[in-house]
Amino acid sequence: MKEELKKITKELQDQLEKVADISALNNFEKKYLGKKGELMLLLKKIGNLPETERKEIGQLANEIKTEIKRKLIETKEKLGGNIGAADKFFDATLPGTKIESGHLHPLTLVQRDLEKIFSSMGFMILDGPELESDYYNFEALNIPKSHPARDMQDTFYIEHKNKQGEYDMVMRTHTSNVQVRAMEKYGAPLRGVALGKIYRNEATDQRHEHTFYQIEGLMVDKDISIAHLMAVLREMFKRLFDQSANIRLRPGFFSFVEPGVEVEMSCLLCEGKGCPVCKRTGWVEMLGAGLVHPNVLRAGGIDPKKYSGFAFGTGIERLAMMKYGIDDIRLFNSGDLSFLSQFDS
Amino acid sequence: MQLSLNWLKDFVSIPKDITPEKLGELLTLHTVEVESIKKLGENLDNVVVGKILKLEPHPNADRLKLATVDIGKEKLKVVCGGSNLYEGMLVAFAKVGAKIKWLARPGKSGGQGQEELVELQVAEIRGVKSTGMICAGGEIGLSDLFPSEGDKEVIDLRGNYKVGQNLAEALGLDDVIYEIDNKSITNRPDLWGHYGMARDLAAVLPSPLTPLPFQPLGRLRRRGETKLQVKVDDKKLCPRYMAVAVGNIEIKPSPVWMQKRLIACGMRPINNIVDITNYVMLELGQPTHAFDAQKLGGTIIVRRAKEGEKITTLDKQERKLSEEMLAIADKNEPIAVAGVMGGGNSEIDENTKSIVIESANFEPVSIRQTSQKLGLRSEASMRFEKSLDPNLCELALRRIVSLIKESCSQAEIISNLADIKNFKLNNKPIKLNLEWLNKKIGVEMLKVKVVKILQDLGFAVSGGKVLNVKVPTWRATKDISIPEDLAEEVARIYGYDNIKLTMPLITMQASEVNIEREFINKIKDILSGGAGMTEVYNYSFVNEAQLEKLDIKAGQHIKLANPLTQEHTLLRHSLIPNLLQNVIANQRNFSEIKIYEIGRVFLPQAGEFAKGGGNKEKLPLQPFKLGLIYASDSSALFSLKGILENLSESLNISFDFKSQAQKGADIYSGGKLIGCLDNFDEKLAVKNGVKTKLALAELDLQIMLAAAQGAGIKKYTAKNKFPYVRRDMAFVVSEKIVYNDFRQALLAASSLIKEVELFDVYQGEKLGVGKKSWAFTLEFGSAEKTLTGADADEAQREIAKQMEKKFGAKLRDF
Repeated sequence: MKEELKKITKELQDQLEKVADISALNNFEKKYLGKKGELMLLLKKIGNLPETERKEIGQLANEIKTEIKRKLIETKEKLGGNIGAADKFFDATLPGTKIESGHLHPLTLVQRDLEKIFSSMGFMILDGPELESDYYNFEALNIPKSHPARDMQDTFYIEHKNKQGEYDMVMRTHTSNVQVRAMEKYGAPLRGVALGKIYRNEATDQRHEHTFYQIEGLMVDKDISIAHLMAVLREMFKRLFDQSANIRLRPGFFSFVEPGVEVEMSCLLCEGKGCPVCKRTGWVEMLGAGLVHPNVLRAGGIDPKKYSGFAFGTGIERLAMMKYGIDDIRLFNSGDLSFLSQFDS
Repeated sequence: MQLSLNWLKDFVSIPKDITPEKLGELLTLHTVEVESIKKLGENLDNVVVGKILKLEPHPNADRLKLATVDIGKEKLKVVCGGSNLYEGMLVAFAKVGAKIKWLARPGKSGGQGQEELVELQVAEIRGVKSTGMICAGGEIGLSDLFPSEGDKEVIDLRGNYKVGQNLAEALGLDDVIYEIDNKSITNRPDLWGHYGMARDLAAVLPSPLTPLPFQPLGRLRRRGETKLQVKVDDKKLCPRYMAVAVGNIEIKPSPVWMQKRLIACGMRPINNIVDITNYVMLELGQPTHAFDAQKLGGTIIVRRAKEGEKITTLDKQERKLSEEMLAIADKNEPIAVAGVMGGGNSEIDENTKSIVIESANFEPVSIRQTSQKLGLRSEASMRFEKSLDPNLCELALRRIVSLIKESCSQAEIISNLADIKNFKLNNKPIKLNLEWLNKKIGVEMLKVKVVKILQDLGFAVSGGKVLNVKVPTWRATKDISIPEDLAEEVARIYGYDNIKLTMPLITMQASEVNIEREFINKIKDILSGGAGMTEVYNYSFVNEAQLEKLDIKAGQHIKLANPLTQEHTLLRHSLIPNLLQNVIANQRNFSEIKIYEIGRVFLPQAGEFAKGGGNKEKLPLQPFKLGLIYASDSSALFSLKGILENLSESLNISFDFKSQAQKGADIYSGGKLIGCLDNFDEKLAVKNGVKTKLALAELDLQIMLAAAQGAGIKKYTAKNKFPYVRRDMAFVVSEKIVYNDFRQALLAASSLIKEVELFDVYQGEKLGVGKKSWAFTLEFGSAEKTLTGADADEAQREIAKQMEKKFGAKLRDF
């Protein structure tokens, strides 16, 4: 075997020196180095050798193969031939091979942004049911039976009545339903955000949907103040939109917070100078927030004398619309691939 | 609600350096959201009252005229195209330099035309010089006051105006109107009138509040013997009812100053009495009503309506009442829907000589429900449903009587004052700890500052470190009852802008991981990443027709009690029906559709979430599902199966596919059914208008997650020390043989087999009927030595023998 190898090596080197042009070189390559070339056939036999010889012979064969290939390339260069397929003009502007990738929904993308922001501040990600009891959606949040928010025109009720003959389940009207559930489960202190689907019984148009997404934030600890709420929210907007984003608060009313505030962000479009988007005020209404109402803390089994907390909530669609410049809220639930395929995975 | 700046100024003085815009911003930041600020008579600087002296035809245009207009100091000639011109007409005349509203052509961006302000210049119109312009309402922003019929009609002032006078002055258009978002004052009954708003503003600025000047009722002398009897049957729904009769009334238009304010605030003047009740409502926030005393039949009774009882309200609509509604009635019939609207049967008209004024307080929830049920939301009902202060009744009545006296000097009170009270306000003092307050807000505020803010708002304050705060009646109905409410008052007047942002200082704690959410995110990454699918979000609702078309029974679906549309009546059991809708919506534009959704479905059986509030019942089961559809002309089923296999591998869970009938498979993991994979039925495809072939799958995420948690982490396998030998083998078997059984047997047939990979499936005439061929690449290897060709040959022979024995498989050359 060793002899055979040496013989063929000699033969190859001799033949290679005689090669005078590219076509001869190609013939040479085919004859010896092709799949059924002489050298290759010889190498295949190595597998059948006794184990004692195989290692040595194998190593030798590999060395020969490498050496011949090196010489082959040298000869090719000498003869002025190019290596590989690059012997034609290369147009670098032609597109590469297309890789088809999928798409995540834009609301998934914004939810992930938010999850990241709040996880980094030590908030846990909470979850809760979408088909919710009247208790967690309203009653526990200090929204009594007579409250306008419970009107049939705002809330989808489930066709099911309790013993008192009242509808006792709804499609949750906000992610705030998670507040008391989380307090019951984790107690205080508590830091969490809940993101998810919510429902309102209102007709859809370019700006309104009956099904949309919200993020709810809740922090309960000792001596939590409005100043804390403001700092955390500013951080959220800075990271979500722009480092220069600023916030301002004005009075607002929500049954489950006291004090209650509406939070506005400086208009990123006009940088606060005033434009149609911000109704020339320089500020855009972004979310509702406040300090958790003592009745809500009590409903969650937390002593309002020992703990206080803040809560906030806002629509994720609005954030996504601002972030990506989307002008019709109905696109999110449309399943329209020409819309969805514009977002990355 | 519309607020007049001039009206506010009646009660609070506003420093000169505070512009109307600044005042609007102060209101927004401290009290309520101002939606818009409208300056009446804005840009009317060079618009004056003009009188047309002479009209001549335009020499070069039939539709234009030459008008000579007297504007006091001079007479000017202008070209005008107005259709309603006449000599002697008083017009709104824009001098050169005036600002005219011009409807610009649709913008470059293709949007609608926008109004632009253009400065008027001397112009030559069809060869004739024109020095000024006779204006239509829209051209100077007065289309509300002077709506023109057709676009050629100019303002006809028709009144006693001085020629040459500034138009804004002549019309009294020197006011600023703030449009307030009604929603932002739902919790503030005290802000539904100018006085309440001025009171808040006085605290914000701060600036002194002018006390109300009205005389006490007792001092209004009674001259007359009418016995006014009032009976309140339902004391709960009517906490207070005041009424008094006034005689010697003369019905006429109200004074111009009052009309102007009503118009400015969006109300139509009617006559002096009606206008006065409206004026007082806008001023104090208390709705009142005036009945024609002659039209009343005896005692006024405040009672529940009888079921089916009818009344024609002032808007001339016949309303059918029901027994939960409160009515104001005389001995015969209802004369008003309490707190909502009066009845036509007792309406004031030009012959009215005496009236009964009602100033009452009604229970808010009942008012709201009544107005909702009747589909009638009035200025009155809007206010009553906010829980008005019952003390306001008296204030309003005093104000009304004094305004009537101003309007009709002969008017006199001719009856006793009826006042039936059934209310008790809960306004006992609230203890406010200053240290607690500062911690809540996050500032260091001095006691004097806190006390000043509260006193400016009308609270009575006493005490040391812990303040005793007495709530004024107008804030005590539902608005303020606990220290937290006071914290809001202090914080908003102090100004949120003055609070320094501070991150909380807390004990570090690792937050709990939401495993389910992370699992879902991972699945989305796999599917939208390497698998190339697109994530969709769909509604959680389906409808019966949609399900019926898919041969799905709607019976078990949870129903909405009040669906918005017939399209969305039931809660979904499965993600598939709406995913199919996505395919139908997209199939025209996309030949290949690969979509998935992860979302909750809703099932009738009890789930894990409790209903809470002491209720032991559970909410319906609402698990997360993963639904996938692969629509494509070729081999959709196997493409989708490939995606599922990729998913199972990435998640390190096993998916076992068990054939179901001819069309698909059930998917198991660790013996548990987790979902299914199906070819969409062709008959259903036709019925639903689905044009491409499609495969669909649906998996239960909770069970998948349990499997993934059981499987744990995929461990590293060390590379084999000795090289593997690869050999290809093809078998011909009966088409009934199941691949998975065959593969398992192959793997077990020799101890040297490490891996088996199918690379070709063939079925054709050459093989004979009922036969198929599978070609595999087999990998042989050993942990002890490098295999020789002979070792592999032997293993292959053993495999061939076993497969023939077990499956009747014949080796096939290729």
